[in-house]
Amino acid sequence: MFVSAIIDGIALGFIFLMLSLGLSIIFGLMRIVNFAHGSLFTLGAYLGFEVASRTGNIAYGILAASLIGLVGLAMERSLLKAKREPMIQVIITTGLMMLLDRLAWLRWGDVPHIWIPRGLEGVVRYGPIIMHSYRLFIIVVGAAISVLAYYLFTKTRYGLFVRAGIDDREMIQSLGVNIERLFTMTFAIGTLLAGIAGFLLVPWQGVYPLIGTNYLLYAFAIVIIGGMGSIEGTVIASILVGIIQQLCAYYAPYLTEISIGIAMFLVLVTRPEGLLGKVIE
Amino acid sequence: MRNLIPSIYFIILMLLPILFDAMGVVRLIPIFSYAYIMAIFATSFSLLLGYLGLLCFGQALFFGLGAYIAAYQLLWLKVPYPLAPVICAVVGSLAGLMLAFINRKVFRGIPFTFTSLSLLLIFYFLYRRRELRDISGGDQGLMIPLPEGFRSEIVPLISIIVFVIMLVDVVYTLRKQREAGSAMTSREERGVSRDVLLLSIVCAVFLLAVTAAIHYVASKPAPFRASPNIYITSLTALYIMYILLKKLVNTPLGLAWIAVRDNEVRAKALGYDTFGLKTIALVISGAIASVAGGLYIIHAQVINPDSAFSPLISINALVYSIIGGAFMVEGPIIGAILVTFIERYLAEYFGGWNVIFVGAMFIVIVFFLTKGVSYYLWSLQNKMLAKLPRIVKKRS
Repeated sequence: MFVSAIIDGIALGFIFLMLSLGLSIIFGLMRIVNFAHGSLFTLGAYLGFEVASRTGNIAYGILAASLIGLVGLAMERSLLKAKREPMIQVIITTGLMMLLDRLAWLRWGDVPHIWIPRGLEGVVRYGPIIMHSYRLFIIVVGAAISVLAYYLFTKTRYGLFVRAGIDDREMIQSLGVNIERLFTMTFAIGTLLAGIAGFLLVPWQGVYPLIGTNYLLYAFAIVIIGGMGSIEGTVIASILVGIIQQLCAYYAPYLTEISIGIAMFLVLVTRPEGLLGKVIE
Repeated sequence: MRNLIPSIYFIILMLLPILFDAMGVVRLIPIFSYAYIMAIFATSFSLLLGYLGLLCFGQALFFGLGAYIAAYQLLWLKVPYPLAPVICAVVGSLAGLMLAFINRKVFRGIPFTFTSLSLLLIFYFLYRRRELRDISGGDQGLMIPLPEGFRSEIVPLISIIVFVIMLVDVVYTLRKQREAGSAMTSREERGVSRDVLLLSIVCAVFLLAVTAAIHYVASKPAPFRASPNIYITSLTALYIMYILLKKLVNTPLGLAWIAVRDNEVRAKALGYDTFGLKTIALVISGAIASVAGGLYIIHAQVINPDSAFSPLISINALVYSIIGGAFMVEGPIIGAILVTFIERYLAEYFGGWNVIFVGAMFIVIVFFLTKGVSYYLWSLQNKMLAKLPRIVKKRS
C-alpha cells in the first residue's frame, strides 16, 4: 500500500508539474499571476475528453488538449499584451477565470465527465503491490513531457532567454531580445502544458468545471514551495506535494488538503524564497 | 466645503432605501447593504495594498474570523449585538498581530502574500472538515438569528449620534484652521463663514433625512424592518470607517506608510521602524476586516466556510480595490459598490450567462478605466465643484 501511495503520488506530481511549471515560468518572466491558468487546465481537459471519447485514441486527446496553447496565445496577444501593469493583469486573468469556468459549466454542466482509454483500465500486480496501469501511464507520459520541457528551458536558445529574462528582464531587453515575442511564446507554452495536464487527469479523477480552479491552489502552493521562477525547484516541489497529498489520502484522509497549506506555511516561515528560489526584491 | 462632501454623500445614501421602495425595487436594499459591508472589507485590504504595497491574499482570514466570532457570540454567548463587532475588532487585530509576528523575517512582497494565503488555506480546509461540522456549520452553515434590535425603529437614531459626532469634529477642525491662520484675508474668512452656513444646512438636511428614514422604517411591520435597518447600520459603519481612515492616512503615520511603500530601504535609513509601521497597518486592517465579517453575518444570517474563509473572498477584495483604484481611500468603496451592483443586480438579467457578463465587465472596466473608477469620478466631482461658484455668481 505504501508503494502504491508513492507511485500515485509521483503520477499526481507529474500532473502538478505540468500545471505549475507554466505558472511559475509565466510569473517569473512576465510577473503575471495567472488566475486563468486553472481554467485553461479545465478547458484542456474538456477538449481532450471530447476528442478522445469520440475517436477512442488517447494520442488525439493529448493533441486536442495541446490546442489550449493557441487559446493562451490568443489571450496573451489580445488582452494581456495591451496592459503590461501587474495589477491590471490580475483583474484581467480573474475576469477570464470567471468567464471560462462559467462557459465550461454552460457547455458541460456540473456532472463529472470521465473517459478511460481502452487497455489501461486495469491494475498491474507485482507481488503484493497493486498499481493502476493508467497512473503508470501518466508517469511515463508526464516524465516524457517534463523531460522535453526541461530540455526546452535549459538546453535551447529560447530557454536561455527565458532564464535570463527571469533574472533580469530589462537587461536582456537591452541586449536586443524581442521580449514581446518571448512573452507570447512563454505564455503559449505554459498554457499548453496546463491543457495537457488537464486532459491527463480525466481518466483518473474525471473533469468538472471547477477542477482547474481547485488545482490552481495546489499549483500556487507548489510554485511557492519550489521558489518563484525556479525550474528545478518546481520539479522537486511538484513531486513532493504529489507524494504528500497521496500519502495523506491513503493514511490520513483528514489531512489531505490541510497538509499542503501546512507545508507551504512551513517552507515560507523557514525559507521565504522557496526551496530553490532566489531572493526576489 | 471639502470636509463636508462625505457627509453629503452619507445623507444621500441614507435616503436611498426610500427611493428604492418608491421605485418598487426593494431587493436593491440588501444588495446595497452587502455592497457597503464589502466596501469596508475591501478598504481594509487596500489599506495594505495602496498604502504599504502589501498584497494580502489572506485577508479573508480576518473576515472569516470576524464572521465566525460574531456568530459564536450571537449563538452561544448571547452577547448583545452592538458589542459583537467590538469583540470582532479585538480578535481581528490580534490576528493581524500574529500574522505580523509570523512574517517578522520577511515582511514584504511575495513571501508575505503567500504566508497569509497559506494561513488562510489552513483555516479554510480545517473549517471544511466534516469533523468540525458543529463549529463550522458544514455546507449548510450556521444559522444566525437576527438580533431583536434590528426589528425596532431605533436603529436610524443611532446614526444621528454618529453623524453629530462627525459634524462636531468637522467644526473643531474648522476652528483649528481659523486659529492657525490668524493673518487670514477677508476672503478666506468669508470662506469659513460660508462653511459654517453649509454646515448648518447639512445638519438640517440630515435631520430631515433621518426623520424620513425613521418614518420609513416605522411604517413597516416589524418583520420587514430588518432590511432597511441593516442597510442603515452598514452604511453608518462604512461612514465611520471612512472618516477615521481618511484622517489616519493624513497623519504622520499615514505619510510614513507611503514612505515605506515607495522606498523601504530609504525609510529605514531615515530612522523609521518599518516593521512597526507595517505591524500597525496590519493590526488596523485586521480589525476593520473582522468588523466587516461581523456585519456580514447580520446581512446573510448564515455562515459557512465557503462564505467566510474562501480564498475567492480575498480575490474579490482585490478586484474591488483595483477596479475602484487602490491608491485612494474612496477607491475600494466605489469599486465594491459598482462591482456588487453589476454582480447582483445587472447580471440577473443575463440568466445563466451572469458570471460571464461579470467577468467580461471586469476586463472592459480595467481596459478603459486604467486608473480606477474612483479617479475618474473624483475628477468629475472636482470639475462640477469648480463650476459651482460660477453658477452662483451668474445668478447674483
